[in-house]
Parts: sequence; structure tokens; C-alpha cells
Amino acid sequence: VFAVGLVTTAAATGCASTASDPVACAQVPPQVTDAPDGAVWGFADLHAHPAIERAFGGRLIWGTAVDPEPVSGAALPRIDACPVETHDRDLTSPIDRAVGAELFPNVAQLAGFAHAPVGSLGFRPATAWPNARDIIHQQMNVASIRRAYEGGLRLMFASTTDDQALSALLSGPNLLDGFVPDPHADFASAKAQLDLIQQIVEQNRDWMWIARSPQDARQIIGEGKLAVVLSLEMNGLLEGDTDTLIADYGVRHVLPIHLVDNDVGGTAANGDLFNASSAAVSSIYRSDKAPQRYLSVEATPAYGRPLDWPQQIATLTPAPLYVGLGTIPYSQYATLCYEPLVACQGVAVAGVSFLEFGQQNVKGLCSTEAECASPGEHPGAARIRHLLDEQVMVDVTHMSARAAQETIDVDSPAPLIASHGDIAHLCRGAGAGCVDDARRPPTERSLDVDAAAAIVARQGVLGLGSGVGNYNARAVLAARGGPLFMLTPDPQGRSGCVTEDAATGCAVAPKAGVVDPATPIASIQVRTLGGVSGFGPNAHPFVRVAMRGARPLDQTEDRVIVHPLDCSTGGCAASIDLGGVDLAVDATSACGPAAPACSASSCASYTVDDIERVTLEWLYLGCDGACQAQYGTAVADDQCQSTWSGDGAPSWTLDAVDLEATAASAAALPLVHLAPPDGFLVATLFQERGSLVVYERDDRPDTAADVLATGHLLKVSLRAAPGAAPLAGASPAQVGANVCVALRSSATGACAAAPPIADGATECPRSDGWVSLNQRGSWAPNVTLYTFVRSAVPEATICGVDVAVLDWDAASPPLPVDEVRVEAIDDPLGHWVRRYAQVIRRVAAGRLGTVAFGTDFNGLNGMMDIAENEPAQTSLASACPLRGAQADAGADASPLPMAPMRFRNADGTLGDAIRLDERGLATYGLLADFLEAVREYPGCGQDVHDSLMLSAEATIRAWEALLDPTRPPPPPLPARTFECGAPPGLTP
Amino acid sequence: MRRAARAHAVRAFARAATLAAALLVAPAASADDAPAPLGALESTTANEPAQAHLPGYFNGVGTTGRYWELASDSAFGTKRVFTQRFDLARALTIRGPLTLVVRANFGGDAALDRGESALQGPIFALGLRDHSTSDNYSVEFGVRLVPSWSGPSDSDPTALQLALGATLTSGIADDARWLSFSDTGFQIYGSFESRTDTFDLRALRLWLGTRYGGEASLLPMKVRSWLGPQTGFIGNAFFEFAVGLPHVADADTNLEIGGHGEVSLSSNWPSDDAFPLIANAFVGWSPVTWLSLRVFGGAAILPTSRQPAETQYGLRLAFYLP
Repeated sequence: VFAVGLVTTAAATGCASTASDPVACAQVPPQVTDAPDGAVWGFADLHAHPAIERAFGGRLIWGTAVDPEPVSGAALPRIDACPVETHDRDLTSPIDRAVGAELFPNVAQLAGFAHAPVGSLGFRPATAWPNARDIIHQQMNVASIRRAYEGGLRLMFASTTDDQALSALLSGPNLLDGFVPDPHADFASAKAQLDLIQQIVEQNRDWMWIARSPQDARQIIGEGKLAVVLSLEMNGLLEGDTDTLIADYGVRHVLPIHLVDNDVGGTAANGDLFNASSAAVSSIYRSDKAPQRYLSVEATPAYGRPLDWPQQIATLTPAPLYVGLGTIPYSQYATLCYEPLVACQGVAVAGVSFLEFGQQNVKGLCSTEAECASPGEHPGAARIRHLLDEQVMVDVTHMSARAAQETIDVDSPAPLIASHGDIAHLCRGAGAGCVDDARRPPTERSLDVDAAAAIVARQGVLGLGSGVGNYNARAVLAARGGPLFMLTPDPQGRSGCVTEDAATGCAVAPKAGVVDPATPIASIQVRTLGGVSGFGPNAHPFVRVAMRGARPLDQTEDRVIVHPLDCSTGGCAASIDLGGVDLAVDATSACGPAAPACSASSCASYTVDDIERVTLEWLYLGCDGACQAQYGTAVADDQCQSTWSGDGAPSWTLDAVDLEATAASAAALPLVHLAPPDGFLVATLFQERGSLVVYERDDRPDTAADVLATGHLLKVSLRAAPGAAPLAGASPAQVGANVCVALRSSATGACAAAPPIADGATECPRSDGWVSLNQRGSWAPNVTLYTFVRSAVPEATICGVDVAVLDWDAASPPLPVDEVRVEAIDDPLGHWVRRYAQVIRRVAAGRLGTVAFGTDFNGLNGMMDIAENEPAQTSLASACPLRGAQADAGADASPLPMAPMRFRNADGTLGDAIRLDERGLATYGLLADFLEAVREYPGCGQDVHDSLMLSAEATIRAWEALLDPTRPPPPPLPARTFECGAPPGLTP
Repeated sequence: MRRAARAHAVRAFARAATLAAALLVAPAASADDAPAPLGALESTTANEPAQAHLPGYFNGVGTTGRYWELASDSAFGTKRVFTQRFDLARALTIRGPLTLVVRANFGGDAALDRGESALQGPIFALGLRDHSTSDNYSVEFGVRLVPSWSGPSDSDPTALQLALGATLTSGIADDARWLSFSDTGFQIYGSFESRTDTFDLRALRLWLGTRYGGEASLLPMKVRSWLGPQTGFIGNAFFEFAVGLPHVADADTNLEIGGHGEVSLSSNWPSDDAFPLIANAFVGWSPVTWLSLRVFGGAAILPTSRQPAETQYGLRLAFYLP
């Protein structure tokens, strides 16, 4: 009777252990029959940041990992309300708050999620926290770690991280001298984070402990506890500082390179923010101490193009550091070779075409271009060897492709790790059976498949990331404009709409499927209605057409044609012969591979499907002496840009836009016809909106028809126009505007609008199909926010989007919306399972355990943002049989079922469940739910589950091999086929 | 009765402070034994006719013979920021040494390296000033009116950069002097001074003194910035000690030597620039009744920043009229 009562109580509280005194689990032996004797059963997470709240000067992440309440894996502790302008608890400076209000929406946009207040406010949006896309509130509190542990986590790499330039931005302006890089800043930050990790472990020593050797790890896990490995993922620790942390704290895992080029080597090209950060600290990491050095890249078809015109975080002394990120001048940009600049280097208006490839960092294990150009082993290799000699696990994640390869080439048999990320070019060199879901070129941040295979061959392990947006999508509806409509504080609620039918009075989305994408084309015609005023200083209207080269989807090679438009008072026009005969210049970039843009035969073989993108844009040409005499020398730095900061007059009104292709048969193929209702414009291109994309290949619903989407889970994205005033969100002082979106459907005939929202409503009525886009968070200009809608109607009947804003201050300015997209997405969780199967088959021949989780929780990345289905809670079995007193009562005979994780209310009761299918991988604890959902995936789900549960064993083996590379290899872990079935809801 | 008690308490406090300061350096001296302080020549009781303060008196407005004050504060620092303020004060006798003081202050600053400069708006003050008949203490407190003011670079961060540079350079962390405000604001201010009686130490005749006080906004003030008006607290506190040297041997030196410390408490400074802290040493000289001057040199730091200290040098000139 007592045992039954205990089970009932535990199930009611939702925890396998008591809430007030969590204890260690009894360790479960491997649940696969062919596992070697002595193997540990449990999953490893090779990368997570539990102490992130101590990073970035304590100003970025709100909340704490240390729970003030009894630890329970089924109860998420409450979180204090955060000020939305800044997360600095002690802040009083109004200027810092104002800067934070500009900065935070842009940080939040990294994951497309508006920053809304969390905590105990009466109007706290229910979905604001926890949420997988929220990257600025703590997601790894101890209760969440406990839940992951009860779900099978046995080995956690607890890593530190930081970025001193981002920290400087977050700390507000420095009026005296701007940003001064500090070579020891990362050391101080790492210590603070390691102290917190140690504190967490000490406070929960009954069920977790720090492993400083593989023997420690086996013993800790053998006692049923969670083994924690201390890890460093800092931008630049000096060698002595790293050694100190290894000696003093027992750090055993290091990523020598993170988000910036440092004194070890080059980082993977991975976005503009951290390129700016790299330049801001180059003077302390380069051996030549050169300041303001951006990444040096080379053109390659292997990767995408993550780097744009670089930003500058710290304007140079004596100007102060403040939040406005300026761009570097053209004269500096032109030396970087980030893109072919032939289009704008002359002063005459002429068309050009050139090949555009992807980018990768030229640096390997070297800190200057001269070092990198020298033959033989580069200086950073000695740092790698030193770490391996210290018996520290070296991680190649975040390294440039060259640095990763040079690390693999270091003369050492020691295993390496790639803890988090994806694998690039999975099927390169593989047989016909290889499957690769990737539909886009990867960035250099993904590990090359050959490097991954080399790591596995040396007994290393990989961690597969679980980051945001990691799935494929197909367009259902896409509309572009500048703006499409203006949201106004309209008390009637509905403020904007987009439909495929111009007769509705809404903005118009081009109809799908009007041309056969396989139709051969010979030319493209562009016509615009509307006047152009002011061509100076030396700005001219151009159309830019990008044609996809004949390469696989995971490579980058576009033929770009930049063509001048012939404009009169009524409009502009251009006809682009894709054979290139009318172009004045047909050149490759001096920075790119020496290859002709195309030959006469290849240029003639384009189809509609090859048109990647068509953009109308102002383009500044070189400003010669006469031009500079007229407009001033400052305009020289506007060269090659389509937006500008001065007061120049150019303005280009687009009343209508027609885009057509001419088929090889000479028939006209309409691609885009943008003609808004009377009184509306397609766009006005001017100072802040110097370009407009009028056609994007991915907008066509037929482009990705093979994406494994059910049509049930839809992603709705809206982009606010550049230069607009931000939409004011909630704060502790105000309720904030609530943006609601709903889909229109023609399932019953005409394209029917969503049911109107009742007067006075403050929440989006979900029962009528409305969902919140911004969780009442602020919406900054040029930021895309998205939300998910579940559709009960066939995908083909979705014909429009309605937008309404509730609780909007009537005194607020209107918010222009530039872009609306609806996409059907494949189940992100199913996508992850299939990806895992593809990777482990390709690089490890299906050997269980070789690929672990590399979640990067709290890593400013956002987690898997939704799941199509919630795992069946009744089958969510705990990997945590009880020990001790509970075990004596008989409760360890079989794992107890885990209840959903729920909010802990103020009165201690439990509230709503935190679900994967609503919030994505919103807290670390949902890894338990994720793992169960993995198991339920058709076909390969059980294999992936079992492989993950042997990943702690595989990782410990790698660690053991590091300590003794000459030992005889242990009995291999079993292999599986990882044959995945069709996603639920899809027929094969 | 209550007024008498309060006066007694003030006198007792002043005497205690005087004794404490004196005992630090001259434990053998006592107020009773010491030569008469400079102020003693002014009057011996509040009811007696006052006399002009002699040269060597450094805190003079509102004292007899010094009812008008025109002061000039000039300073520059290593960042090549130059500051200049003018202060015009008029003391109106209410009763005995108790005066009503009206002040007007205005000036400008310039960052010579960057070619930036700004005229800074006026600040008006209305206060009460009192001092003891023996000049062992003086006190002034009142209200400052800080009118709205617009500088040439208010829409640019360089305006605040210049203001911070001025605060660090000027030796006076009184931010209201260097910032522009979008609305009129009010501050309360106060300063208190205590001195020992003069005493002899070998060939020197000395007095010891301390001064402290500050400004604080009554309500949040709106500082102009490139981000729009930023509402916050504007205030500061200072402390200084001084050794007076009215005579060396038989010569009238009329010198004052001391140290000055000041901190800005204003909330408008970003956290990287918070609490500008100033410390300097000064030498004062008042050769004649109608003039006193002070030269100072020191350093200023931002405690929350890793920036090196900013050095500062300055001159204060004060002219008096009866």
C-alpha cells in the first residue's frame, strides 16, 4: 500500500524523485542487447552553457540557473520580471536603458523572436518564456537539468562562453574612449562562469558531480549521477590563462577557436555581428597586433555567403562607442574581396555580369595572412598539441575549414571532438544510397564531411546541434513590397492583410504556379511604373538578377547580372539577354576564382527555375573628380552601396512592377505582376530602403515541392520595414502591443477572411485561428518575426494572411510591413531525427553512440523551435529509478513515468504544461521529452534513441583514448541501419 | 527658546569639529589659547559692526566687504578638454552674518583635439549663507534653477562625450554645469565649512579646515542626448581639507594648501562611465581682500572603466566687492 501511495504521489508531482530532496537515480544498464559489457547507458550533451548568466558582463541573460525553490524535474521555477530595455539588474543609467531598448530587439531577432517581458507580470505573455527561440533568458535552471537527467542525461559538457565586443555593446556607450579590447577579459568571464557551474554542482552533489577523468565519469555515472565536464568556449584565452583554468578548475574540454579569429587560428565565417567582433579584438590576438582586421575570406562554391558589408562595433577614438553599428567605408571594404565589386568600380553606367561564390576564411591555425601563407605547420598547431599533451579534449567546432583540417593534421593520435553543429556536404563522394536533406549551401560553420569522418575514424565523437530553424520549408504564399501595408493603431483591430486576389483590397501576393519552372528562357524583362527623381550623387537605378549555376543545392555559384534601367518620367525598363551579349563587361572578381561567368552555351540553357533572385536597387557608382566637386568627397564612401546615410535626394517610386521571362520559343512568361490597389505603391526606394527584392526563387510554392511537410504546420513570417519606428512592446510599465496573425482560406469557396476579433479583446483568439506574432514584445525595424499556425485546411487553399494589433497605444506611429511569408515546414523534430540518421550512417557506418547531442543550450542560438507532435506522455518513461529510501520502498524496480514539466505557480501549485509542440525545445528539461519523441519516430527512431543513449559511453571512450592512445581498442559499440520511415502523416 | 537651542547646537557642533580637526595636528593648541582667527577681526558678536575680512580668507562672499563675487574657473586636462565657467554672486544681508545669496553661473567647454565646443547654459541659485562670528564655520544651502538649454551637438553622442570630459577636467564634478537639459530642472545644494582657530607651529601660523557639500536634483532632470531626453538624477558630492598659512615667520603669506575630492552621482552617465571621481591638490592665495585665487592639479578616474586617469590643471580666480 505504501509503495502504491508513493508511486501515486510521485506521478502526481510529476517527478521520479521527491521535489524537496532529489536523489541520484539507480543506474540502468544498456537497454540494447548487443552493447559491450560495462558500457554506460545515458546520453551525452557535448555542449551547453548552464552558467550563461555570468557571461556578457551579466547584462544579456535574465534569470538564474540556481533555483530558489525545491528542485523538481516536473516544475519549472518562477522567474523574476525582467526590464525589457536591459538585463542589467543594477542599472540606473537612462542612456544605458535607451541603448538597450535599441539593442535588445536586434539581439532577440537572431532567433526571430521578440523580446517580451517574462516573470510575474499580470500581462506576461504566456508563450514568452520559456520558448525555444528566446535566447536571452536562462533555459538551464537546475530543475531543467534535473529533468534532462531523469530522462537519461548522464554526461554534460558545461561550457563557458563570451564575446567582449558584444559585452561592450550591452554595457552601453563608453563616452570616454570607446571600446578597448582586453586580452584577459575572457579569462575573467570564464572564471566567473566556472565558479557558478561548480556552485550548481556542489548544491546538487547528491545527483551530479564534476568528472576530471574518464575514470571519474564512469564512476559518477555508475553511481547513477550526472557527470559534468568543465569546458571552455571562449573567443580568445591566452595560453597561460587556459593552462590556469585547466589546472585550477579541472577543465577538460576546450574549443581553441570560437567566434573570432584569435591567436590560435581562424574562425568559421559565420555572420556579420561576429565579423565585427573579430575586427574589434584583432589587435590583441593577431601576432602583428594590427587593429580592425576583418575576416579574410576566399571565394568557394562549397559554402554560402554569411558575410556582408562589415559593420563596425566601435567607432575609432575619439568618437564614442554607442549602439549604432556603422558600416566600414568603401575604401576599406574594397580590400576585403567579400564580393565582386566590378559592378560599381567605374563611373560610367554599364551592365556587368560576374560569378558569385560562397565564402570561407583563409586562415588556418595562424593569426595573420602572412603566417597563413607560409608553408608547413602554422603557429597555432603548437597550441593544439599543447592542449592534447595536457590531456584536454580538443574541439574543432567553430574553426574555419582550414583550421579544422590543420587540427586534424596535427601529429597526434589523440581523438578530437566536434561538439555542436551540422555536417556539410554529407553526400560528397558517397555512393548512391546517401541521403542529404540539406537544401541550401551550408556556411563554413558546418563541419566538412571529410573532417567529420576523420574525427570519427580516430575514435572521436560528434555532437549534432538542435538549433533553431533547422528544417526545410516550402512557400505557400509570399508577398513583397515596400511596404505591403501600414499597421495602424486601429481600434477596429484588423490592420493589414495580404491575399492572392487584388479584388479584396489587400496587398497582393503573386499567384502560385503560373509558369512551368522547367521552361527554357532566353531573357528577362523588367518594367516599372513610377518616377525617378535625383540621380546624384552618382546613384543610378539598376536591376540585379542572380541566376543559379549548375551546381548541387548545397553549393554556391550564382551568375549575377547587374543591369542599368532605362528610366523616363513614367517609369523604368530593362531587357536582360541572358546570353550576355549586351553587357559591357563580363568579368569575374579579382578576388574570386578565375572562371568566366558563363559561356555562350551555358548562358543559353537557363530555365525559369534558375532565376534565383531579382532585385531593384539604387547603386552608387564611383564618384570621380567632377562628381566629388559637386557632392563632396564623402560620397566616395557611398560607392557600391544601395542605401546611404547622407541627405541625398534620389527617390524612386514604384507604382507597379512587371517581371517577365522570354521563353526560348519567344513566348512571354509572366513571373511577377505587382500592382497594388489605387492609392498604394509597391515601394518607394530611397535613402533607407535602397533596394527591393521583387522575385525570389524560394517564394515559388513549386520550388520545394519535395519537402517532407504535412501542410499542417505552417510558419508565418512578417518583416517590419527599415527605418520605421519600432512597435512598442510590453515592459513592466506598459502592456504593449499584441500583433495577431491568421490565415485566410478558400476551402469553402472565396478567400475568406479570418473571423474578426471582438472589440476590446486583448489576446489573439486562438479558437478563431489567430495567434500572436510578438508575444507583446517590441518589434524593431527591418526585423522579421515569425510564429507557427496549425492549419486544418488543405495547404493549397491558403490564400491570404490577416494581421491585427491589439492593445496598441493610439498615439503610436504606424508600422509598415514589407514582407509576408507563409511556409509549410517539415516537422523540425522529424527533420533532426532524419539528419541524425543520415550523419551517423555516412560518417560512422551507423556505429551507435558516435553522434551525441550538441545542444548549445543558452548559446544565443535558439533551439528547435517547434515540433509537429507532442510525445505520448503516457509512454515517457524515466531513466531514473530511485535509490535510497525510495528504492527500499520498492520504487526502483522499474522507472516511474514522467509527468510533463509544468509552471510552478506563486502558491506552489503546478500550472500549464510546457510542451514541445507549442514552445519547441524551450528548456533543457525538454530534452527528456525530445528523446521520447525521437524514439517514436517511424523506422529509425529507436535506433537514434539507442544511439543517443550510448553517446555517453562513446564519449568516455574517446576521452580514454586521449589519455592512452596506445591502448587496445575496446569492443566496438554495435551498429544499426538507421533506416527512417516517412514522417507521421505522410505517405511514402 | 528653540531658536536659541538650535544656535547652541550649531555652535557646539562647530566647536567640536574645530577641536577635532585641530587636535589632529596641534594637540597642544586649544581654541582658547590660539591667536584670534582671521574672522575675529570682522566682529566678535553678531550684534557688533562687522569689519572687512582680511586677505587670506578663502570663502568669502557674504562676509563683510565681500558682498559681490565674480569668479572664473578655468581648467584643462590631458584629453585637451578646456573648461571655463563664470560665477557671479551677490549676497544680501538679512541679519548679521546671515545673507541671502543670489548666484548666476555660465560658461563653456571645448575639446581641442576634436574641434568641438559648446556654450553651457546658465544656472541660477538662491541660497542662504551664514557663518560664525569667529569664522569657525560657514554654511550655505539653497535651490538651483537649471533652465533648459540646447547645445550644438545634442543629437550626437559627442555632446555627452564633451560633457563627461568637462566633468573630469574641470575639477568640479557638478554635471549640471556641463550638460544640456530639455526641461528646466531644480537642484538643492549645500556646502559646509569648518575651521580651527589659527594656531602657531614653530614659525608657522596655521589653521585647519574642511569643506564638504554637493548638489542634488529635486526631481528627475531630463538630459539631452542623441537618444532623446534621458530622465535621471543629477548630483554630486565633494569633500576637501585645507591647511591655512596666514603667516610664515613674520610675513603675511595668506596661503591655503589642501586637497579636494569630488564624485559625480548623476545617473545619466552610462555604466562604463559611472561615478566620475576627481581628486586634486590645490594652493590658494588671497593677497588682498578683493582677490583670491586657487591653482590645482590632480587626476580624475572613471571607477567602472579601465581607462587611465585623466590629469587636470586649473585656476580659480575670485574678485570681491563690498
